[in-house]
Amino acid sequence: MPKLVFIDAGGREYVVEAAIGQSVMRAAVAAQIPGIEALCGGNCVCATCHAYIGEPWYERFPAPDDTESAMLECTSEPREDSRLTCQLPVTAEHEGLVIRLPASQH
Amino acid sequence: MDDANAPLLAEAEHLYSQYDHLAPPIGPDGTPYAYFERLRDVTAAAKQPVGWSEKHGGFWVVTSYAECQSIIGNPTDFSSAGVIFPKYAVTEPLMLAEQDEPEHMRGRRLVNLSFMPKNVANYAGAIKTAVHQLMDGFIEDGHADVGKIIAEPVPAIVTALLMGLPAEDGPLFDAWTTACTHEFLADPVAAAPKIAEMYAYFEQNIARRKLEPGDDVLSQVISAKIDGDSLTHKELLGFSTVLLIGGIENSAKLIGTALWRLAWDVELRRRLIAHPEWITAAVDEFLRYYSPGTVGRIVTNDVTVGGKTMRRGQQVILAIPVANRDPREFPHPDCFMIDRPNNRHLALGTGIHSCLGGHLIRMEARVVLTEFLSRITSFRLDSTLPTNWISGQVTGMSRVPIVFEAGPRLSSERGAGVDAWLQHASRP
Repeated sequence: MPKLVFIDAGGREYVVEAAIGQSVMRAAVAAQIPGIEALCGGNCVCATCHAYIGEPWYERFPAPDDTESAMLECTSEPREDSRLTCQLPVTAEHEGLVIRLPASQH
Repeated sequence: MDDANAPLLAEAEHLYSQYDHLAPPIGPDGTPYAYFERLRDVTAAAKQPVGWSEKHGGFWVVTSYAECQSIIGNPTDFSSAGVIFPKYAVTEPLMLAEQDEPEHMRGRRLVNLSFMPKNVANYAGAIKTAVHQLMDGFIEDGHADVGKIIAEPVPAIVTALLMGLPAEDGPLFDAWTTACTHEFLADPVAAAPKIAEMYAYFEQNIARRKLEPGDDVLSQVISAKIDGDSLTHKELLGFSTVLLIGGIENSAKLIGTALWRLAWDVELRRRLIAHPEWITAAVDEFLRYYSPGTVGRIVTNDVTVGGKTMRRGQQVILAIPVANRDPREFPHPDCFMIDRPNNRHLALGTGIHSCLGGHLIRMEARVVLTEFLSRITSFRLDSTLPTNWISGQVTGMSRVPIVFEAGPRLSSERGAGVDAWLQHASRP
């Protein structure tokens, strides 16, 4: 069970255990992390599970597909390390993964 | 259930049998919430999250959060073809809202990006301008029906912009939407010509956009290809209708109800004026507390929910305004908490059908409330005039007469849409 660290826009940290194969979004929703709304439930249509995955973690996920890339550009505060967390499956190499949350999903 | 609980069970069954989402009893506060709270309390105590209503030919009613969430999250056994019940008086199916997979997602992807936060934010400036111009129209009077002159116009003006339609036609959109969603039940003879007029208007606009495409959502839909095919003419009419009804109904009711609450809840108003940055969270609490929309589904496979066996082909209504006050999901559900943590309300759906306009309605309500409270800080309901709660699948306060201390206008400029609305509102 890798431990994931969510850091909200105010700097508060939340440590969550995730199951291998679970998406980062599912781990956040199960632990009720404020800021990951995930309204569409992982279908990549709502852009409410947006987060920033800084180095070195960004490279440790498969690159976003066309649908996700297009969505990322339209989030409220897109950055180069933006991802939709519903598209990020957790593996054993993600122990200690740091996920930074935007101020708002809207 | 033992004999001691038999009266409770009987009361729950009776309440379910009389449940009519289009005509809930209105209480002394002018809303149906006293009734919704009783329905919730009795059905929860009787452990009956699902019941059978005898109205409209009979349908299942679901009142608990968990069961509503599980039905919305189960497109295998429940079809969105039953989202509106009884069906609106539209001749073309409502694209997206009434569609199942894979058609729903193909249609949704065509327009989805236009409704994402960054694109929606492009309309914030226009909304702000419209709110101030509308307010300039009545701020010197010291009284206004802000249901009629803020809550109704703003969503129509935004929808016109989004669809590339003339903003001055806004009052027509509102009449057509009401005809399709409410008037057709009460007075079908009066509604029919308005609905025909709406379709003729869309026909014209689709033809115009085919010749002169713009960067609006309607043009995008017209030029889009799904699996190599363009949308058919009927599908384009279905898209136009859903964008119009979807864009106007929920937003107008949400904003109207929020302004009504702020007119008498001095404490809430004081806090939002002192902390405009809290308005974003407050909008989600307004959505939970006074959920505008109730949605339906049609059972596609026999399935048991909440101890009741639903048969293929039966209609289900999810009582979202009741489920969003379920204490098992929302502690102290009847408290309006601006900073409610994990406010996972179902007002805009959840899962694959979560509202296309979810970002837009939040932004619209946030901008309207922020700008309104920046100019009119002290106001109260005008006790000499009635409020009006509109019932239906989309519900909320439509008439919100207020009195306030008159203030100065900011500008004498008026956009075309605003002028049309001010003239419209001045009629009796």
